[in-house]
Amino acid sequence: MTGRMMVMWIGLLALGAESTSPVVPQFRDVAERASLSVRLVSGNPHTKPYLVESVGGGLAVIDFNNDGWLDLYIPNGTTIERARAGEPGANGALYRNNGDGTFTDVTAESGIRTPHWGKGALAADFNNDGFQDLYITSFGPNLLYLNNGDGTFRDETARAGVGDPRWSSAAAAADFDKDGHLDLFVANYVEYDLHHLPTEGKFCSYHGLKVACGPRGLQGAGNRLYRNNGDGTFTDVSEAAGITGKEGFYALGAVWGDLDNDGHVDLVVANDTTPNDLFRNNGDGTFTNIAVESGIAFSEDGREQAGMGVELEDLDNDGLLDLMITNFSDDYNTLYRNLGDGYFQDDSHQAGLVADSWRDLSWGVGFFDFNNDGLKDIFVANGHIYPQVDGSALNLSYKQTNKLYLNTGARRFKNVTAQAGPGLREKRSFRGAAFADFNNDGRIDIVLSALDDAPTLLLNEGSMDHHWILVRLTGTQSNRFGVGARVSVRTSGVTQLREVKAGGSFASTNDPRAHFGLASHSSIDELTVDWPSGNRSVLRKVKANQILTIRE
Amino acid sequence: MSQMAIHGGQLLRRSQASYEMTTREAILITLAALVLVVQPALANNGCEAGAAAARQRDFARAETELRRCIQSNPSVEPYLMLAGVYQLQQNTAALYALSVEATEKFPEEQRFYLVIATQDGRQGRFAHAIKVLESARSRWPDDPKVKALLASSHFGMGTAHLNAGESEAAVSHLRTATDLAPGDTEAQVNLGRALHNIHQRLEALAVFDRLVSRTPPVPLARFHRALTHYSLGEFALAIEDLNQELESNSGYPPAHLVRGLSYIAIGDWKHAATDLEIAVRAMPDHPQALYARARTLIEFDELDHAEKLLRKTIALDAEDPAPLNTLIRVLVRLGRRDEARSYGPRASALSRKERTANPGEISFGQFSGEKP
Repeated sequence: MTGRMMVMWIGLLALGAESTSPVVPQFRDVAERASLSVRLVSGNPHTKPYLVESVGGGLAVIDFNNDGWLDLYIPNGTTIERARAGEPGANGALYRNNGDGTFTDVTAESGIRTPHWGKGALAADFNNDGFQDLYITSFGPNLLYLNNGDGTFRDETARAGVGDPRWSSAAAAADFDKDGHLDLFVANYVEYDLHHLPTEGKFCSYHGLKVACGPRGLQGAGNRLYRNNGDGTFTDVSEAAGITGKEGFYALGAVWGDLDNDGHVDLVVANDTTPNDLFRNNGDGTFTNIAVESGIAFSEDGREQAGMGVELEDLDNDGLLDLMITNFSDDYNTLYRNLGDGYFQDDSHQAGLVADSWRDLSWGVGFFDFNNDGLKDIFVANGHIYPQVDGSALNLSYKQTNKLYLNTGARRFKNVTAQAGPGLREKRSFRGAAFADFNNDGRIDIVLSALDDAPTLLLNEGSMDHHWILVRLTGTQSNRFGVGARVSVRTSGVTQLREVKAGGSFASTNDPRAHFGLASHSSIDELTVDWPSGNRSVLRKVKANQILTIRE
Repeated sequence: MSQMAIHGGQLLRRSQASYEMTTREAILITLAALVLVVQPALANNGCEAGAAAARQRDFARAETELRRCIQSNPSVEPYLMLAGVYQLQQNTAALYALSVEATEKFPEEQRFYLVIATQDGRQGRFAHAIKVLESARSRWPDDPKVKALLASSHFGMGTAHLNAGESEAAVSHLRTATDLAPGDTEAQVNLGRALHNIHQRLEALAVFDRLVSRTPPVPLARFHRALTHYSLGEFALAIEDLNQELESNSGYPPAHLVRGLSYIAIGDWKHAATDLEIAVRAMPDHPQALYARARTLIEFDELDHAEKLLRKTIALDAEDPAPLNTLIRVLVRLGRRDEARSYGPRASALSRKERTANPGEISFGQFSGEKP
C-alpha cells in the first residue's frame, strides 16, 4: 500500500459512517443588543464605482485586557472624497466584551487611531509580553499598535518598520523561523492611485454591466514578509525568503499552517483572479512556491479562480490540514483535501459544495465545529462586490446570505443555512468573518463585517448536549500565545487536530484558543500540544466542558 | 469550472427555407410581367418586341428590346418584364442589379424589394436585406410577405452573429425576429442560446421553458435549457433535462458531454465517466470532451490514460491554459516533476494571455456545447 493510500484509508476509518441528520446549531444576530453598532464606511454606499470601495475587509477577535472574555476590533474605511482630501477616515472601533452579552466601545481610551482606509485586522502578541497587539492593514500605510497591557495601545509602526504603504488586504502572523517571535506576512492587493482612478476600459464591465474597474488591468501590489527581530523591530525579508509576489498576483487572503507536517509553518495566499500561492517553508529562511504542483493554484479543472478568503484545518480528522479558498460568483468555493504527500485534491464536488456556492461571492471562511459533534463544519460569508447585479438578469444579488455547511462525515457537507436560525437569513454584503466563543459557553459564535452596515454577531444558541473544550496556550520557549502550535485531542480512537493561528479567513483573526467539539465524550483520552519550539505537552483523561490553559 | 457559451451553428442554423419560399414568390414577378398587356404607349420602342421575344424564350433579344424600351419609356412595366426575363434565365446578378435600379425609380413597387431582400438573404447579406425590408415595411407595415422576409433576415443576421460569438448583437436581431414571427421556434431557440451566452440566464431559461412545454417538443430545447441550468449552478436540473433529451435523442453526443460535466459538478464521477466516455467516442477530436474525460480519469487515478487525453486536448486547443495546468498536476503525480516544471512557463504565459484578453472581473473559458 502506498503512503498516500494508507493515509486515505486511515482517514476513512477516522471519519466513520456518514451522519445524515446532524444537530443544526441555531444562530441569532445579537449585535444590536450587544451594542456593536459601528457602521462600516466604504465609499459610495449605492454604486461603488471604484474597486477600493467594494472590496472591504475583516475584523479581529482579541482579548486585549486578558480578562478571558474575547474583545473585538473592527477596522473602518472612508470615502474617496475624504481620502483624496487627506482627511482621516472613519475610525476603527475597539469593543470590550463586558462578559454579560454586551460590549463597550473603548476606542477613544485605547489610543487607536486609524487615519487610512482600514481593511483588515490581525491580533497577535508580537513582543511576547502576554498581551495581544494589533496590526491593521489599510489602503495607505498599515499600522502596528502595541498593547500596553492597561487598556491602551501605542503606535509602534515607524519603529517596527512595518508600515507597508500599499493597499494591504490581509495580514497573518507565525514564527516561520522558529526563533520564538511572531513574524508578519502582509498580503497586498493592487497598485491603486486615488488621484488617477481607473474608470474606463474593458476591465470595467461585468457581463455587460458597467462596474468598478479591476483588479484585472491593474498591477498587483506584491507581498511582504517581515521577520521579527525580537527587539521591537522587523526586517523586510520578502526577497530573501522568496515571497515578493512579483508575479503581480492580487493577494487578498493569507493563512499560515504546517501543511506537510514537517514542523515548519507554510503559507497559503488566496489571490484574486490569479493562481493561488502555496509557499513551502524550506526551514532555512526561504520558501518555495509549490502551488501549481501541489494542486491548489487552480480549481480541479485547471482554471484560475478569484480567491478571497482562506482557511486551513483538518476537516476529516486524518491529521492533515485541509484548505478552503473562497471565490467569486458563477464559480465555487474550493475545498482542497490534503492528501499528505504534497498533493491536494479539489474535493469540492464530492463534498457537495459546488452547486450551493455557485451564486455566492464569498469572503470570510472558517472551519469550526459549530455543533460540537466532533467534526469541523464550514461557514462562509457572502456578498457581491457589484451593486449593479441587483435588478440585472444575471440571477445574482449584491446582498447575500451567509452559508453554513455541516460536516456529515465521509467528507460530505450539508447546507443547513435555512435551518440554522434567523441570524443566517440576514442578507448583507458581508465581507470579514471571525470565529470565537464570545460568551465562553463552548459554542463557537461568529462576528461579521458588512459593507455600509453595522457588524453582525451570530450567537450560537439552541440546545446541544455535546461536550467541548477550549484550549488556551501560553508559550514560554515558543511565542507567548502558541501560534503555530498543534493541539490534538483523542477520544475513542479518533484524533482531532487544530493549529493555533493568527490571521486567516478574510483579513480577520479568530479566537486564539483551540476549540474542539467532543460529541458525547465527557473526557478526552489524550490531549497533546506540539509547540512551535519542538516541545510537546501531553495530558491524559482531560475533563470536557472547560477552558483549559496549558503552559509550555 | 468553465462557463458554457453556445457557439457553433451546426445544429440550429436554419436552412434557407424562408428565402427559397420567397424566391418562389418572386417568380410570380416573372409570370405577372409576361402576361402584362403592353400598353399602347409602349407598343413601340422595343417594348412589344421585347415582350414577344420573352414569350418565345428568346431571352437575348428580349433583353435587348426591353432595355431599348426602358430607355425610351421609363415606366415600371418594362422593368417587370425584364426582371421576368432575368429570372427565367436564372441570371440572379442582373436581376439583383435591375431590382436595385428599379426600387430607386419605382419605390411603390413592392416586388423589387422582395427580390433584393431574397437575394441578399441567400447570399448572407442580412444587413442589407434588413435595410431594404425596413424601407419596404415603412410603406407596407402590415404586409405579411414583407414581415416574414424581414423576420427571416433578422433571424439570419442574429444567427450569423451567434455563430461568430457575437451574442449581444445576436440577441437584438433574434428578439426582432421572434417579435415579427412569434411562432418561429428556431428563432426562439437561437434567442435563448444568445441570451444564455450574454448571461441573461433567467430570460434564456424562460425562452427554453416555453419551447420545452410545446407539443411536439422543439428539438434540442431541453439540451439548451440544460446548458442554462448548468450555468446557473443547477446541476441536478441540468441532468434531469439531459436525461429526457437523451431519451428522445439518444445519439446526441453533446448531451452526454454536458451531462458528464454536470455529474462532475455534483461529485458523481462514476456517472460522469460513463457519459464522457460516450462523448469522446462520438467526438474524438472535441477538446472539451477529451478534457472532461481526462478529469474523470485523474479522479480514478488512471493517470497514464489521463495524460494521453490531456496531450491530445492540448494539441487540439493549444491556447487554453487549463489542460496544460492539469497536465502539470498529473505529471507531478506521476513523479515526473522536472518535466512538469518545464511546462510551467508556457502555462503561465497562456494564463496571462487569457487574463489580459478577457474583459470583466473574472472570465472563464468558453465552452461550446456543440461539436465544432
